Amino acid sequence: MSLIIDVNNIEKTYTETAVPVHALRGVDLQIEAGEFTAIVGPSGSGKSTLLNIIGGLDVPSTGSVVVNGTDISQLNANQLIDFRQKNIGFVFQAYNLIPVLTAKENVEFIMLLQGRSKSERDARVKELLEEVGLMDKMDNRPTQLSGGQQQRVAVARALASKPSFVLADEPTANLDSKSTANLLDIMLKLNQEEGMTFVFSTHDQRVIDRARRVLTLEDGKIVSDIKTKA
Amino acid sequence: MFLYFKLAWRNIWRNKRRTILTLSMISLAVLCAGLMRAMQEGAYEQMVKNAAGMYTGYAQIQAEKYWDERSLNNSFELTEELISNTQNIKSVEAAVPRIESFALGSAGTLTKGAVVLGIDPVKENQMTKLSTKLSSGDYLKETDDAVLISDELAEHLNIGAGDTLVLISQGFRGVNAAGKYPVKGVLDITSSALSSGVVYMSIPNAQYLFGMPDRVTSLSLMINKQENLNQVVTDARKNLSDKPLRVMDWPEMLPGLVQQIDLDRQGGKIFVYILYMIIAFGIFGTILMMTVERRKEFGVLMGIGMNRWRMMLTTWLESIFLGLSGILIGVLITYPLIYYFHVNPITFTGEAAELYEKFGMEPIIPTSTNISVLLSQATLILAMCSLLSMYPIYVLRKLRPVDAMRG
Ligand SMILES: Nc1ncnc2c1ncn2[C@@H]1O[C@H](COP(=O)(O)OP(=O)(O)OP(=O)(O)O)[C@@H](O)[C@H]1O
Ligand SMILES: [Mg+2]
Repeated sequence: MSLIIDVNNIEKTYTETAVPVHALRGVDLQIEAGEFTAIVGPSGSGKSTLLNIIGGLDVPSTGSVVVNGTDISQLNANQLIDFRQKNIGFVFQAYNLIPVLTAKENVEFIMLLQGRSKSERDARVKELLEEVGLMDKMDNRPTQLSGGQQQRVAVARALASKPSFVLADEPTANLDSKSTANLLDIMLKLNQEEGMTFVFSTHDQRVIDRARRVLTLEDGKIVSDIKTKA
Repeated sequence: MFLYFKLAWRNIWRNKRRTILTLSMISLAVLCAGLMRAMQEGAYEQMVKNAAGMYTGYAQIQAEKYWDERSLNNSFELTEELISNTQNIKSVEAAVPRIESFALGSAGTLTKGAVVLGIDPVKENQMTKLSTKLSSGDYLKETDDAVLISDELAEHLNIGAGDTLVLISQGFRGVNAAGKYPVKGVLDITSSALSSGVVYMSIPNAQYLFGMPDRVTSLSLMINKQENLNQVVTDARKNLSDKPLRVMDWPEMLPGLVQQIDLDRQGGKIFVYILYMIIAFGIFGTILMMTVERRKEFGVLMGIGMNRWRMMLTTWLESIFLGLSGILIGVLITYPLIYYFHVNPITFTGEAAELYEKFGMEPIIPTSTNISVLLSQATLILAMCSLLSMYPIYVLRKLRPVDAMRG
């Protein structure tokens, strides 16, 4: 198993606030290819902050984050955008999809930015929409899809350009239990079939139950790291 | 590239109502500004047509020094080749030769100074409709050994059609010039340029009188459309580059008219700028809303790896598409209207009309179909949209995805 995320003793302090907020206080974390890892913890414990830093959306106050051998704290804002596009798939809690593009076009989007050929794009879009079970919705715009369907499209998009891992910050927060179960099924299947690494945060016990590694954050620190059904 | 066009185009239609409102505003502005400017330019064209068309022509070919020193010594030889070369220039409708000089006119014991014009009776009539101004007698024929005189001269010398006029002058290179001519007709020309005594005769007669065979003082050019003037002048200059001749266009010959038009045009342009300033606020409102309500989306796009330049390009294209669509609709409405008022010009009646007709001008203002009127509206609007799109570009420049997504 190869190491793809290596977080070394990071701290994050928000200083723009009246009282500085210590969102992360010394986090060490290694994630290997193929993991299906949940980050849990009470609200305000620093889950989003940690995921944002791993994903290069934010920078730590101290410490380093090495992704696929690149120390991303050394990259500038524009280099980070490129780095994210090539290496990381994102699924956010909401507003994931571009409203003016159809499901198919949304999945295709990053491959278009990367200038992939039409045949390659078409094949990949078809493959992914099939896996998330939305072949029949591929010409629908996001507003014509349910919340669960939108998140499935978002997962398909995150995987489209074959990133080295997918980060998802509370991807099921806005979904009912049936859609949640369905999205988890799909993520697990992609984890097994494509070997895609998933790191996601959640509050939802049913989601936690299906993770294979559960990291618990409390007050900016990792307080437990449990590997289940290894 | 197609991706950005698609995104931009679809983005502007996300809020149909707002976009339709914005487009209506832009097209209304094009309509108001375009129609107003076309009327203005049409009025100027009419003024130029009246001034240049009545006498100087839109351009003249002269000997190099003639404009500064209007003497017969600065005349030039009018060859068949020169005439045909000039008439063959694209957009030239006619090349009208003239000899212009002075003489002392006398009848019996009375004398008066007069302008003597050697003309080609047929061409001159086509250009200035001289024959319509006859108050008595008949119009000149090419072969006539007679003259037409202005009513003022007729009054002064107390002569009329059928009487005899004696002209005494100095001809080409100082030769003596004198002749006796029957008066064939009297012209009512109150037009300002030639208000006092004028004598018209055929060019061969004038050449004989002034001892200047084959020579003339000017060749006036009539053209089909005023907007082609520059092209015609350039072509004519190219034709004449190896001759001691010069081509003057009407703005050079009538600087006062140019000034008058420019002054008036500035007024019209100020109105247009004010109109567009109001429109700019409307467009900015739309662009502002389109930016503000999509902050989260911008954050997501940047998050998943769409770089700033591509996002800026997309928002810039949105503004441009908005502008272009408005312009297109505006032009599609405005141009037919301009064309309609060109074919069916605004006609005025009453005293103003009489005054116009007295000066031999038609009492109408056709709109100008010069496409540059609408093109300049389009350019203005596009420049404005481009400028306004600096706002989303500015926002994107500073946007951090985490902040944007948190809202
Ligand atoms: N931009 C910011 N400025 C100031 N404080 C911030 C900022 N972002 C997060 N915080 C603070 O940092 C701490 C950690 O926030 P974070 O969003 O990481 O928590 P979380 O575990 O994701 O919570 P939740 O489960 O509610 O999403 C919180 O106290 C939060 O208020
Ligand atoms: Mg969070």
